[in-house]
Amino acid sequence: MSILTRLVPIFAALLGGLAILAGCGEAPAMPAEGAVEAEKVGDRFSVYALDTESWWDQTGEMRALGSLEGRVQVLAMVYTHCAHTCPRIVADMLQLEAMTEELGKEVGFVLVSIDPDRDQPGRLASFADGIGLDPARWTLLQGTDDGTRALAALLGVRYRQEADREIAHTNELTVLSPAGEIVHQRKGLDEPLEHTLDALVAAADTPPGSDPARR
Amino acid sequence: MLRSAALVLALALCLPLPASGSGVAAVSLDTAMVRVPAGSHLPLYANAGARIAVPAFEIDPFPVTRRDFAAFVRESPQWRRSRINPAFAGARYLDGWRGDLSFGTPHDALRPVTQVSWFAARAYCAAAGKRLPTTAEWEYVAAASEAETDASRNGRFIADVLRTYGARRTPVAPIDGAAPNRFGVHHLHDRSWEWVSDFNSVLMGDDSRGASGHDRRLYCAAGSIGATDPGNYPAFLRYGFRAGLEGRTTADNLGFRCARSIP
Repeated sequence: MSILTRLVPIFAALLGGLAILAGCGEAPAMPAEGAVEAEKVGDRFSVYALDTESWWDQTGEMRALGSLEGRVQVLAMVYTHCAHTCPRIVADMLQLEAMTEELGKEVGFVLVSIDPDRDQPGRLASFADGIGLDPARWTLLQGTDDGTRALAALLGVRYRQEADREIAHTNELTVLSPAGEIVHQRKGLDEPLEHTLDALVAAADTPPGSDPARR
Repeated sequence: MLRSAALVLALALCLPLPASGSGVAAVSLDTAMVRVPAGSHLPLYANAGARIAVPAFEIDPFPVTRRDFAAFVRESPQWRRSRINPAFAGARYLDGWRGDLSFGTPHDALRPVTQVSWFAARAYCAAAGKRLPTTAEWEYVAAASEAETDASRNGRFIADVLRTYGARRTPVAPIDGAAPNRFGVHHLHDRSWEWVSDFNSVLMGDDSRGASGHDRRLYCAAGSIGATDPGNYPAFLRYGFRAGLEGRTTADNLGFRCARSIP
């Protein structure tokens, strides 16, 4: 990935703005990036509304996205052949797992593959075993090409197959409430993990009084 | 094959064609899908100029109209304005419609439907046994002028497209039988932007691989240097527009058409 590719957005965003001006007299619903974020986080909808797609977990079991409902989930879209940022995202999630466990919060962790061709359930299982992911907390999902695109569209994740079989992708770390609402999203890798932890703690459905110091 | 060739010819010559829908407007439009032969597309930003092969496919010759979309939501209540799940569209979904099934006056029937989200466009195509075109398919088809199948290096065509973008109005003008491009496809540039299935393959600034940033050098127009075709300004506009989209986005200058793979 060249530096040029990373500079494109600046140029593209500029052009996007021009395109809107050129396209019509009245400004359409095309908010700036920050505004899109604000709209997505806090807007009342459930990711589990996406119920027409099929997924397969690391045990090979077919399941609906809605099967994740009922507890706070930390979700990232990655792929197991990824050598660059994916291991860092997973490491961050493992760190969150340790932190929330210490606080006595019940949280699930979900990795959805953006490489469904190669990330078959067996591959996901050996990936999970290799890192020692706790199957009681971690769900690894393979979807269809189309279903994966749709979930990415819902979460604001962008990815593109590159010629070298690598996949360029953004690095959202999404916190879902038990009902599936996006209550927090970390974009990129620079935001301190504590922000995500705070959102997790706020969203976790803990019995009252179990952790008064944090309340 | 013969049929589609005849269709292309007929459309190119502006011959009257049998109407396939009710005659709300005075024009007779054949909406049968057009077969596009296999070809390729050179992405605006490609690794070492790698062309993407595009297998032969079919595409709607016209954008989906308000009338088409009203027929869809009649059959699929969950996509009506009053019932749309907020996961799948922003607050302005089908803005301007008078009701769930009423898109406006008869004059509005043949306007390309706009204020539709990617999710709604995708559902519409799926219900018709179709799908949204990929970026590569859309760009490949849209690179054709009336005379050439690939006019992407034709300065005059590029200037025309650019002028066309500037002349668009909202609400989007109804479709008509004006000359299609060389593939027999209409209104790719002169009505609205259009959804593609992989709109979210355009990466924004938080592209991750190599996020270290120590070699980052900012200088003017750096973004165009890596482009495969820096002279194709309309392609930059489309790229930039897609980069700003979310799956729930709707806009009054954003519509769609469907495509279909050939088995």
